[in-house]
Amino acid sequence: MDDSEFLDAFTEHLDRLHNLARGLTRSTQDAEDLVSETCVLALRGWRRGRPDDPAAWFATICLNAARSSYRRSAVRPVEVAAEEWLHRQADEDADTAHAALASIDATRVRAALSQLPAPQLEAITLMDLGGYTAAQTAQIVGAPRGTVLARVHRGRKVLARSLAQERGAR
Amino acid sequence: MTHDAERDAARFLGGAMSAPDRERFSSHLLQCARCWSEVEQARRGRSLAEGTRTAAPAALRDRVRGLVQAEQVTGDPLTRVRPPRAVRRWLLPAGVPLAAAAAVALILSIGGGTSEPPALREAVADYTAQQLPGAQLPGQRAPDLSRLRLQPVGAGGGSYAELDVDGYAYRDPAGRRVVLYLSDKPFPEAPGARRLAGADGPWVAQRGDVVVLCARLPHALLVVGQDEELVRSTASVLGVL
Repeated sequence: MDDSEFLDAFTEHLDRLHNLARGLTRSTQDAEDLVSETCVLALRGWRRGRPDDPAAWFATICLNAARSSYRRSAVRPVEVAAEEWLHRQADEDADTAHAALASIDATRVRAALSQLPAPQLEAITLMDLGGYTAAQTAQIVGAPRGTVLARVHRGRKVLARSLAQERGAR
Repeated sequence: MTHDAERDAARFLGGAMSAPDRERFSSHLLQCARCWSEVEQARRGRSLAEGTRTAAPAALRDRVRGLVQAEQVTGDPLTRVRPPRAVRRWLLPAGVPLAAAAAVALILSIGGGTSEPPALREAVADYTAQQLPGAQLPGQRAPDLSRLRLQPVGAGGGSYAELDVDGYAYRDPAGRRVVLYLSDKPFPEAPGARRLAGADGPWVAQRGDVVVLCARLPHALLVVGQDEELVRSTASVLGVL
């Protein structure tokens, strides 16, 4: 059986899938395991019929695999705190930290991302790390586009504020 | 002006506004501190998240290729692919008693002593643990052993000691396993090996309940299994015995 077409398609999207998996898991090893699991599941599905939008289809498989595995529960301890924190901070002027944000490294951003509620994390991971459009993301997570935009917007705000606060506290 | 600043900013940044609405909101932004703040913060958050993007590691690309190759051979990768050495973890599938692996290790440490070549030790240990040498794409398709009713169940390339090795795992309907290892260079000889033919001919060695058959010509290969007759038959079909 010639799977070279699948291999070409999967490797073409490997960077974004890796970024997606990295956002949905706690460690690089878990992310690579998740991508591998996605690869095997996708290959079996591909043999039954090629999808119209391989990029979104791979991401859907990756997200479902992450949701159904231990990785989700391991990485998602916070469901409410970030939202509450956002509202407490709603009137705070975040401009003072603007310039400092450039120096924040990826590790701290990942730590802040991991504190987001699951729907926001998924939306940000798909759109900002994976580079999927709002329409693709809506299809992947199974939510209306407006809902996805609201989730990603709130998540981005929490992210910016939490890192600005961290910077201010140092 | 009464409006939902968060919703409008989200739609603005997400490209969900019509052209006239977008133009209107752009003008509004300059006069509304709340909307300006919403857009600014979300833009900063987006920039931070985008800053964590990285390229997939080369090892992951190799692993994906190895997985596709294994699926190509098997349709169902019963044999696990060993992670790269740096992050190597022993993946013993359910049903493989830890004691079996420990027993082989013990026999090797006693019977082989320090003279057991590392490449052979790793090959036997991987056979016992049902692991392949690595996740790289093997150099060729799995050799056809259907005459012995052996079906491929996994394939992957890696290295044992200094040797680059491709591993091909097979099972027969009775569940007997044979793993074939191919290399460009000859495998070292096992201490206590029995020569089957000639000075440079193939040899066979027993390690616990594992039989290792090695040939140098015409191919450098190892055949590893638990049933010596099946191991010999495999070598025969491959033309080295």
